[in-house]
Formats: sequence, C-alpha cells, structure tokens
Amino acid sequence: MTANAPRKKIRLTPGGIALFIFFTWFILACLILPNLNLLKTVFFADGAFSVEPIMKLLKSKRAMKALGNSFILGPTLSITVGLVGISLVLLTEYFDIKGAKILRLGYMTTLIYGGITLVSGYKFIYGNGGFLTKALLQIFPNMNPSWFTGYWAVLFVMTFSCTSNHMIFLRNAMRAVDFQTVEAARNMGAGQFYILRRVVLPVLKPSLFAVTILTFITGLSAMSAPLLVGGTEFQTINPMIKTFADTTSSKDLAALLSLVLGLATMLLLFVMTQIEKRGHYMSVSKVKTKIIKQKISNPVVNVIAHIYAYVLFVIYVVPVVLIVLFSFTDSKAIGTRTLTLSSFTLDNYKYLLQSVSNFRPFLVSICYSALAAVIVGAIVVIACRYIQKHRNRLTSSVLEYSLMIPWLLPTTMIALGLMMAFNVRRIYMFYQVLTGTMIILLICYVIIKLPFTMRMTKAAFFSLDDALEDAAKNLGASGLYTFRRVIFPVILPTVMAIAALNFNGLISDYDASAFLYHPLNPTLGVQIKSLTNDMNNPNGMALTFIYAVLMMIISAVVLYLVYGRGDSKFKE
Amino acid sequence: MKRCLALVLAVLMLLSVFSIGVAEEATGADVKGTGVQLTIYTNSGSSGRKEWLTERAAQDGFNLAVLEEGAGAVQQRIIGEAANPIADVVFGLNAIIWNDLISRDLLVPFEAPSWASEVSEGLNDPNGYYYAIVKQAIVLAYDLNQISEEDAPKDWPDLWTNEAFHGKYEVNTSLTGGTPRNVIAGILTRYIDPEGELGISDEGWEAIGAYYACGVPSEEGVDLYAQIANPNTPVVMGQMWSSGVVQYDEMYGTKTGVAKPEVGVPYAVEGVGIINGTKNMDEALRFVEWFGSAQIQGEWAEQFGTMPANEIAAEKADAVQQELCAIPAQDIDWALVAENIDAWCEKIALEYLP
Repeated sequence: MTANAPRKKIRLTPGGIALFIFFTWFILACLILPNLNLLKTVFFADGAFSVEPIMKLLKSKRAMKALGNSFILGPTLSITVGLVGISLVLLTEYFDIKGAKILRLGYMTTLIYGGITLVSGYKFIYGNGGFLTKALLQIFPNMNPSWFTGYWAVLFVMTFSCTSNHMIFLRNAMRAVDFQTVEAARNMGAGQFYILRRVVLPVLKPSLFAVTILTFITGLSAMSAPLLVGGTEFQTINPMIKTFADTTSSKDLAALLSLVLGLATMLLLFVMTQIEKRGHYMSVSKVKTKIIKQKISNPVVNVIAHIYAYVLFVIYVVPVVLIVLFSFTDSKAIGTRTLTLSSFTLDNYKYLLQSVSNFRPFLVSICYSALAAVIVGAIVVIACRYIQKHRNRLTSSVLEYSLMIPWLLPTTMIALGLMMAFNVRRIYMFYQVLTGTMIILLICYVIIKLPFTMRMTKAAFFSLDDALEDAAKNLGASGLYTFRRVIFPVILPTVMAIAALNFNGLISDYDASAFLYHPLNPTLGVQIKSLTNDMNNPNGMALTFIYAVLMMIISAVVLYLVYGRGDSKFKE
Repeated sequence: MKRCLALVLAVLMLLSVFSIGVAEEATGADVKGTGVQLTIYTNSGSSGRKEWLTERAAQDGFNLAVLEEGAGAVQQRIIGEAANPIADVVFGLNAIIWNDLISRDLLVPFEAPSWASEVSEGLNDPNGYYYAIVKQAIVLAYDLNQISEEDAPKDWPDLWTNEAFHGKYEVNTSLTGGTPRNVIAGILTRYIDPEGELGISDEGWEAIGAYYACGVPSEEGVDLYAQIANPNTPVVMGQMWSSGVVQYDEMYGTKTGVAKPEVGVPYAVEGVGIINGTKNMDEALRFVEWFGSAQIQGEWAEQFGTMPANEIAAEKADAVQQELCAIPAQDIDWALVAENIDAWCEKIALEYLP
C-alpha cells in the first residue's frame, strides 16, 4: 500500500462502533477534561485569564537560562546518546566482539536503575572526593577537585544513562535485519562500512526515529543529572517545574513551563511523523535469515573497536558496582564518598526489609503496575492497529496526538487534575466519585504511560512487513483473525518489552501515588519514600541506596521474565 | 444497725451511679473509641509512628486508618479532596499549612479538648481550628568540632553580613520542604512592610537574596550533616530541626551547637485538627481528646524522642530536646506567612536561588 492509496471506506461493525465510543469517552474523560479543568483553575484562578505568569517567567533570568539549557541539552543529548546507543547495538549484535554477552549485560544496566541513585553512582567516581578525582589529584595536585560539574558533566552522565531504549528497541530492530541483504551487498563488492551505512542503518530508521524522540524528551525534561552535577551554571527547567507544581499557588508557572516543553515535543513528533509517513524502510524479503555477526576485517579498527567496547563497559558497570557496595554502608560513608571495610553493615537491609515486611505495599504495587501495564498495552495496540490501517485519516491523527497529551503536563499535575476532576460526580464518569477509591490511581498509571507506549508500539507497527498481512488476507483470513494470529505474534516481543519497562517504571512510582493512593493500600514508592525521607532517621540516604538496589533486583527479574522470554521467542 | 447498713448501701449506690456518670464524661486518655473507622492523614507517621499509633489506639477502642505522606502532599490531598473529604482527622503539619487549610475553609473549629490548657501558650490556634501536640525548634546548627561557640553565628543575618561565614553554610534549595519554609519565614517576617513587594521591604528581599548568594546550595540526596562531616566540603552549618540533632550527631560524630538569636527561633508546631465535612464528627472529637492528652503525648515522646507541646507531657522528653526547645519562639504572624509563603517561595525560585 502506498501513501496515496484511495481511502478505504470504514465498515461499521458493532465492535468498531464500541471501540469508537470507548476511545472517544476515554480521551475526553481521562485525558482532556481533567487536564482542561486543572488548567482552568490554574490560569483562570480569579475568573479571568492573566498574562502575569508569562511576564513573571520572562522577567526571571533563572527561568530563562534554565529553559535555554534544557533546549541545549535536548538536541545535543539526542546526538551523543544516538552515537553511543548505535555503537552499543553494533558492538553487541552486529560486529563480532569477544565477550559480547558480558558486554551486553553491562550495557543493559541502565535498564534497572536511574534517577538520583544513578547520578550518585557517577559522582562516586568523578565527583569531588570520587575515586577518579582522587587519582587525578595525585597526578595533578593543582586541579579543581570539583571539576566534574556543569554542562559537560551533565551531558556525560546522561549520554551513558539514557541508552536504555536503544538497548531494547534498536537492538530488536537490529535482530530483525535480514542477513540476506547484507550478503547480497557483499557479493556485489560493497565494503563492510558501506554495507553498514547503506544497508543496515536504513532498516533501523523507524526505531532510531522513535528512540531519538524519546532521548530528546529525556534531555528536555532532565532532572537528576543537572541537580546533582549541573552546579550553579547548568540548571535545567524541570526541577523548577517540579517545585512550582508542588506549590499550590505556583501551578500556573508549572503548567506554563511544561506546556512549553510539551509543545516542543509535539512539534518534534509532528515533524518526525511526517518524515516517517514519507517512506518504507523495511526489507522486502519474505524469508528472512538471522544476522551473522561480522568480524571487523581491518585489524587496527578491530583492536580499536574492542578497546572502545570495553571502555564503555567500564563506564557503564562501575557506577552500579559502587551503588551496590555503598548500599552496605551508612549515610556518612555515602555522603563523604569513602568506602572502608569498617563501615560495612547489614543493618540498613534489615531495617528496610523489616519495615516493608508486611508485604502489602509490594503486593499493591505489583498488582497496580501489572494491571496498568496490561491495560495501557491493550489500549495502545488497538489504537496503533487503527492508525496503521488508516494512516491518512484525520481520526488517526486525532487519536495519535490525543494519546500523547500526557506528555504536555508533569505527572504531579496529571494526578492533581484527576483528583480535582473526580472528587465530584461527573456525568462523564457516570456520576461516580473516584477520589478515595482504588481505581483512580490505576487510571493515572495508565494515563502517564500512554505516550511512551504509544510511540514505541507505533514504531513496532511501522516496521511490520505489510506483505504478511496481505498474504493472510489473500488466504481468506478475517481482519481480526489476521491481527490475532499474524500481526500480534510479530509485535509481541516489543509489546512485552514495553510492558516490562512500564511495569518497572510504575512499581517505584511516587509522583502519581502520592496524591491518589488509597489510605489503606499505600504503594511501594510511598512506603519507601516515607522511610527514606524520615526526618528523624539520619540514615535516610543509605536507605535510598538500599531501596535502589531492591528496585534493581525487581527490575532485573521482571526484565528477565518478560523480555528475556520474549527474546527467546523472537529467536525462534 | 440495719438502717446504718441501708444508709451505707444507699451512699455506695449513689457513689457508683455518680462514678458511672464521671466515666461517661471521661477525659484525656480515659476516653474510649467506639470502633467507627477514622481516616487519619499525617506527615508524622514514619519510623513506626503510624503502626504504634494504630495499635495503641486500638487498645482504647479506636479503629484508625492512617495515611502517611509528606506535609506538602497531605496539604494538597486535603485541598484536592475538598468537595468530598476522605479524611476525618489530620495531625502533624506546621503552622504555615494549618493556616492555609483554615483560610481555605477545610478545617472545622471545635471546642477545646480538656488538655488544651496544658499546652504552652500561643501554640494552639486561637479560633479552635487546631490544637498543638508537638513542637519543633527550627535552628541554625553548626558543628562545634569545627567552629567554636564564640566564632559561630549568633543569628541568621550573621551568615550574610559577616564574610567569615560566606561559603560555609548550606542553603536548602528545596523550597517545598517544611524546614526551609520556616527558615524563610523566620528571615522575611523581620522585614514586613505592607508597601513592599509581597508585603516585604526591599531590604528584606536583599537579605534573602544575600542569604542564598553567600551559601552553598544543598545537594539532592545528600543531607546537611553529610556535608558538614565531609572534609572535602567547606560546609560547617545550616538549618536543622530540633528532634533530629541527637541522631545526626550519633551517626556523623558531629557535636551540634545552635545559634540562639535574641528574636527567638521559628517553631514548627505539629497540631491536630478535624476535617470540615467529616462524617464521623463525634468519634473524631473523642480521638482528639484521647490523642492530645498528656498521657498519650508523653508515651509518644518517650517512643519517638519528640518534644510535646503539652507541658505535663514535656517532662517525658529527653534533656537535649528540652534544652533546644527552651529557646524562645520568634514572634511570627503565621496567618500572614501562610497567605504569602507560596508567593515568596515562587519569587525566590525565580530570582534568588543559586
């Protein structure tokens, strides 16, 4: 099917009508109306719209500089993460590098941890008092011990910490490359790097597009890295948004700033979608063969590639190792970045495990996260299927962009919007009050995971081979049957991987839970936050680390169960 | 003889009837709950407080569901649920948040519980919206191992007016936290000027600007005492709450001294109040009467090292707490602070944070 094919008339089936009603209701009741309601209270607080918040922000040098920094970080990060991310995938999946399996595990560490702990891990090495800094001070006694600060430090940390999506989605795409195309090119005398550039990379484009957008957004909304290593000269806008979003009367500023970021994101998405629509990037082969790893023919390049691979490995792995080690010490050791045998203790683990020993918060979070991951997956798969089938319809665009709405506002504000919308009986929620019920948090979890799920699932649909569907249809299969037995199995690994990522993201959620959790059923994030933030426990910092290690274990197990198995299916 | 016996019996019966009458109007810790479930919101439920309270209250017939959250989140939740309140009782928080909730009509005033008169003067809400249970001095703390009492600052303004302290104190950049907000209130309310921007004189804004400009910004995930104890950082002092001092000193091997300004220090007053719109008013009143009593607050203090606002229970607090909380309270118009603190913090975030 080409882009300009005549529009097919939509047949009105009962199922189709039901889906249409569901999506119209869902988008209006969960995505548009609560947020509009919130924006109304925020911008029309005194009954009339005022430009005051805009003036306030324009007047603030700090806000303008932070906004500027975010817009510097977004694009530069897209480039650096893109380069590193592509090289990770090539090193583990395309080129024949010794010890690729171990390297891959190392590169995948970013999947199991993030945020403050991750950046702290980097500070243990590069920061003031960190291991590398101490070593460098031996050689250059006059250097500034706080050298690891500012734009370059932020860029460095984020370049290596934001490759998770590459390691999953780009890697999936790489494994789907048809090796026959590579062989054919070689038989025609193409050089190794020519093949890479002209044969392999074009096939990766849809995935590369999707992960680049995500990287751009990550850069725009950077939080932990600027806070910890940005110093005074490189602060970004998101910490400020968070502060304003948490302050009752400053929500207008928070909403305004995140709308600026959100609109930039939407603009980027729009441009990317247009480019995406222009062409097909998939191979046309009907019988794909699995890729065989390429030995780098030039010996010098081969050695350099190996050195590069292992340097990256060290950069990725050392912070994790240090976090695990430091989790066995106390806050003092962490704060002063000194690792000694005498400060080794198991007490923190005992304390934390005892405190969450009634496993209720675990169960609550696991149920919520699993349910939300499944629901959001189902909604998005159905939506993507519609968009794929009706690429040029207005309804497709409306559907796609509507599901991206949650990218326009920070999580805190989405949660507040839901809370304020559904604490009274609304006709669009069937006259049910949701505040104080178990379901409202589930709705919020589903909402905040929509855009990411949408973007990645869509990429999976776009790299589908249309021929598969045509073949099924020619054999007389119905639409639903084709979807269930042909399309769905092909995209399943990606859908499962996304669900795993969503699950891992939600299990430790605090921002949404804080406002919406049921009094009798606190989630894990809430429970842990109260332990680590306890004013009267000076060991809160150490508890944060143990919490991070605990989360690493959960995340690793989930990834293994879901993605690992999806992986093996994929191999078949 | 029989008459005598009859008289004695009659008197005994009368007494017993009387004593039953007394029991029905039990006060303080003698009040029993009826088992109606109360939903309690608090920011003071960690370190086993929540569990302890639920259990202790159950012994006296109260059935509690305690929701524990940061002070800001509790405040936002109550505001967001205004149209359909979930909570019956809220305790903890601080004067700034209490006054914000009052101004939004989210609390219901109630007749003073029997223990209200035992609370230190000036801590209860004069209009009966909340009554104080725990007090917490917000102090400027320094490490006596690194700076002597003579050389240490005597009051907050010393930090920016005396160059010797520049770059030696931490400024907490988390403007949503309770402690930083109390510090800001303590500084800015010295410069109240109805003509000035947001009710503060230019001098006041310069002062708060200088406070942030001359300090070392706090680091996310690293607490003040870690900075003080770290030989690689110049930080030796910063804001602290009184009940944390002992444990931090133990953990970090520091020896905390505190500035004792002539104007006094801000106190974060934890109180207890009843949510406007509760469906369990009677049980809520019974709980408040029970919870704030000298007996229960004394047990609470012994368990968790807090400083009770109840003067009878205060004897149960440890010596360091008693000493820290002996610093006089700064005279602060909390209603004014509550009205303006968000705007102040917004201005600070936009203009003064490093």
